[in-house]
Amino acid sequence: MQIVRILPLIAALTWGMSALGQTQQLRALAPAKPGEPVRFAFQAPQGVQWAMVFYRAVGEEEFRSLSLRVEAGAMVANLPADEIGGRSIQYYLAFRAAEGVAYLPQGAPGIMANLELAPSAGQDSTGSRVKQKVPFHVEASLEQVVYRSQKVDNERTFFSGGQVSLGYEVEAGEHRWSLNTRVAYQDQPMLGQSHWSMGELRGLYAYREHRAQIGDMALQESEFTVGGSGRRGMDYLYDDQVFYAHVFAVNTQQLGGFKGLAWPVKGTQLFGGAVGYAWMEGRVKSKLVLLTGQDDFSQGVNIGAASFLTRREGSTAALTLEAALMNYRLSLNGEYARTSYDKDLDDTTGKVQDQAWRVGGAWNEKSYSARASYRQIGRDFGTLGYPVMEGDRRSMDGGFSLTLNPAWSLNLSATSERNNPNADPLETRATNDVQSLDGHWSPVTGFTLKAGLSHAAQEAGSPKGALVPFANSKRSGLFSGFDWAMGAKGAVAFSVQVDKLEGTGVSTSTGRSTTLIMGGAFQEPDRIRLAPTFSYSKSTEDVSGQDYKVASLFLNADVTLVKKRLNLALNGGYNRMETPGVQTMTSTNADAALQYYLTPYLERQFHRGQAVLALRFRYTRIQSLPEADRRASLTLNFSF
Amino acid sequence: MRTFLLSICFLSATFLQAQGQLTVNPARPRVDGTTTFTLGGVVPFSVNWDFGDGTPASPGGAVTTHAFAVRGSFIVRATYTTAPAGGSTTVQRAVAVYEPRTIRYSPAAPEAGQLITLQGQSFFSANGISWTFGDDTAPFISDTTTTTHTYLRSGIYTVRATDTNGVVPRIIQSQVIVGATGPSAPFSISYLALRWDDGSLRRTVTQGDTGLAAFADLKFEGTGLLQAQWLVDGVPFKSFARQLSFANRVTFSSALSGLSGPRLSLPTNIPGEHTISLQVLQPGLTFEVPVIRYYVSLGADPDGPVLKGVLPKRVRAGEEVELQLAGPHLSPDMELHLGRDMAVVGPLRLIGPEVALVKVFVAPTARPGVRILRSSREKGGPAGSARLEILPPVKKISKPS
Repeated sequence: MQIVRILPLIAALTWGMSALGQTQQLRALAPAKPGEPVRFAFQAPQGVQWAMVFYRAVGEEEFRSLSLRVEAGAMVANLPADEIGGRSIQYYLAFRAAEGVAYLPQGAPGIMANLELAPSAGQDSTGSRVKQKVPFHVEASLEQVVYRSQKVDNERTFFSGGQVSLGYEVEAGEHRWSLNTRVAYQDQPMLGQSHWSMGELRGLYAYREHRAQIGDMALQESEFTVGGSGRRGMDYLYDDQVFYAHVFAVNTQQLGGFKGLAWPVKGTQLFGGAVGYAWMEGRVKSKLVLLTGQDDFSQGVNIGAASFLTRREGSTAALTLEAALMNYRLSLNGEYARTSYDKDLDDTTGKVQDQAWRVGGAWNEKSYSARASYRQIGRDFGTLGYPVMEGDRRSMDGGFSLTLNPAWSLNLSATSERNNPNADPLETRATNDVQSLDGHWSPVTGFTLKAGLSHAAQEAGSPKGALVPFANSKRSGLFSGFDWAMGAKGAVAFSVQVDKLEGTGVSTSTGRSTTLIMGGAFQEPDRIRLAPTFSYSKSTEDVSGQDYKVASLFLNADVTLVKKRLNLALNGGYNRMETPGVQTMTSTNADAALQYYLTPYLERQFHRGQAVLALRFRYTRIQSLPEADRRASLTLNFSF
Repeated sequence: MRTFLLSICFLSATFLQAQGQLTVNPARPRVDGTTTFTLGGVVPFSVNWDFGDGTPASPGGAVTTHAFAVRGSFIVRATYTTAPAGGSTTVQRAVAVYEPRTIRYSPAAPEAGQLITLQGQSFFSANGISWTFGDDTAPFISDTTTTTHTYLRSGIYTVRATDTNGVVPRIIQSQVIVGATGPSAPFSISYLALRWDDGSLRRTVTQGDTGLAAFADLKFEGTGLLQAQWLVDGVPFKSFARQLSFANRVTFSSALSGLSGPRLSLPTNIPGEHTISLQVLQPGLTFEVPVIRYYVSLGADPDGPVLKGVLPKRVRAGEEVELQLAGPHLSPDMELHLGRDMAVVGPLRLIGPEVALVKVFVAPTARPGVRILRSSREKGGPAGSARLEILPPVKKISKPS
């Protein structure tokens, strides 16, 4: 009889194990028919603030999330069938109860709940849908000058510029391809640049731990090898959190036009790679980096460089080690690098070998952290992975940060540097010691007050160096400011910095600089937006007699005259520059555009596109010129 | 009628009277070079030449020569008569005299102990040039216009070379900076690169976008004061001054970075192309500062949210945390894409025009590393992104089966 009584219960449990993913309080109901959602239901205890299901198709590494909502006394959520990329899903629940975040099933995420699903139409062999996107945009801006107060013969009166963007994105299961390009046209290119250029090129293929890129990218391997963004070329990366492999071929410089899009141009090429391995579940990592190439500063279109920065060539090998120990409270890092480097290909000196190394560590607690590092860079060390580097240097630095409560924080740091540490008699020995202290205080949400001070002393051992202004000097600095977000309608930021330089060697010159900057944004949505900026800077140096005072006021504003139709955009500024012995220079500029939006018409006619027709006025008044320059033009900007 | 015709003839004779013309050869005279002046167009009876360089005016013929001793602009006047008792006429011409002689040295940034090649350029003398090097070594006479020298210490040296084959022997001098790099060198900027935050040279932003900032990467030598101004379409936007020390690298931004994101956004309210540059007031630069561009585009939805930054920059897996989002047009109904193993667990609250708070939960299964958070709105529009680093959970989690 007892058996008869429990038979239904056994049957229900058996059914539950087969058709339901069920835990103590969380139930997942598989869809009865293909295409219907999976339904999650959670009998939440009292005081639950939120509940979230994390789920993944079997075979996937990471979990997607689904928020549960309250419905008829329970917390429920439906997972659409097309969101599931497989026939079986694993899931667990995280919820915030009064005592903190808890998980179901108990032991999650070490233990998962499973749910078997019937296959549905529209899925590929891996169980995922293929998603495609082909973004395409043409944008252009045309300008015809209709009036100019100071006419110049044969002056251009028509200007044009624009860009064409084309993309292609495909996602099929765990495969992802994307290619985004933007070709830009400018009718007034800078000297040495072409009218057409590739403004952006980003190609990507990603599959699980594999990633291949072409076009614009950032590289970051280590401090002594390669780092920085804005490179163009190609790379391949494999990273499964244990094994790491990366190979790349990029340009060392940003080249103009269509040069070096996918493969570096000779003379500015950098080839390299890195292999790494992680132990102890990723807490200890090591990496070997190798790179070689050539560089030519004159090829970069975004740089200016002194004449002694010429063509260079070299190879770098480096070994890095990182460790996060004691439950991630202690972190240690180190690097040893060696280069064979010719810093000037145009002189008779060839490649010279030298080395650099560093060690560092940090201790992190919730309320405080401390860090220290030591590095030594050889005189002839140089890597092509960075445009410039300070060689022949040994430095130590340390810091301590204290967070008293969420509103207060203090930072203390000290650095001691030595140039020519090996006392090469042909080089100048110099030392630099810097100490700084700064603090942040946030008494209310959105408001932060900050202040800090620093002190430093520099000495150059050579008698010749002593003649150079500030080669021997004491420095002090003070800064303060605040950052205040005043609700949705306003924000303001202010900073002031005062620096003092005092020569202490044979050259006893002094120098002072002051910078004061204040800016903000104030808006009444759909009516007006004002963003003023005021800056004042002053620098005084008695040795050269240079004493500049510069005050600038810049206003960026928008006034909505008719919502979504007519708008007045204004940019304007006033600048005053005082230099001893030279007449004070002032200038006033204004650029106002009365913009009429044609977008509603395009929406009606073509269901896409944006256009703005504007009447633009420009006013420039420079004190040294007899008359102001006034210009009026008609502009048309469109995007389709 | 006769009177009228006579008047015409008189006026024509007066106005059409031949006027002397002054020609100069070479057109651009050099210091100490022989320059020939010719008074043409008339047959002068007498000419008095004044070369405007302080030398006394002197009589001469229609053709004369002169050598200027210094460079500069001078007004050369020829006052002439065409008859013994005739009135004098003066014609004048401005000449710009230049000094092409200079001393070049190679390499451009020599170090102590390095052999330097010095060359006297555009000298009159091809040999027998006397050199002094400013370092207490003995003078040296070279057989050609080129010589070599090695400085044993860093410093600024004045090199003098005597050119004897001009009108008068002349000392040409130049400063050689040995050890121009490093902390003890005179203060100078040796490298300046402009870029956007992603390293690109050309940026596209949507009209009304805020938080746009340009960056300048500098390498400087020595110690001194830098003062500069950011320029938008050539108009000063923000000025600043800063002490820079001990020959290092530094990056400046056109924005004023606050805890909740950058302030002082570059203007994006006028569509089309705009330029950004940095005007360095001091120290003087020996190269031209580059220009980068940004294009203000008419986005699909100018009012869309554009996420620019997030604080804190690191969160730990397994923890609930309140993120501070920064960017323009953030709105409570915006979509925030956190990636997998991470979920929004509370409503988004705006605390400033470009600052919002949102509570998120980072699942304990979240993969450590850097991820990109994205913002968008259901009906489309511009998207923004910010980087967030996920740290491993404090409590060790057994790998999900």
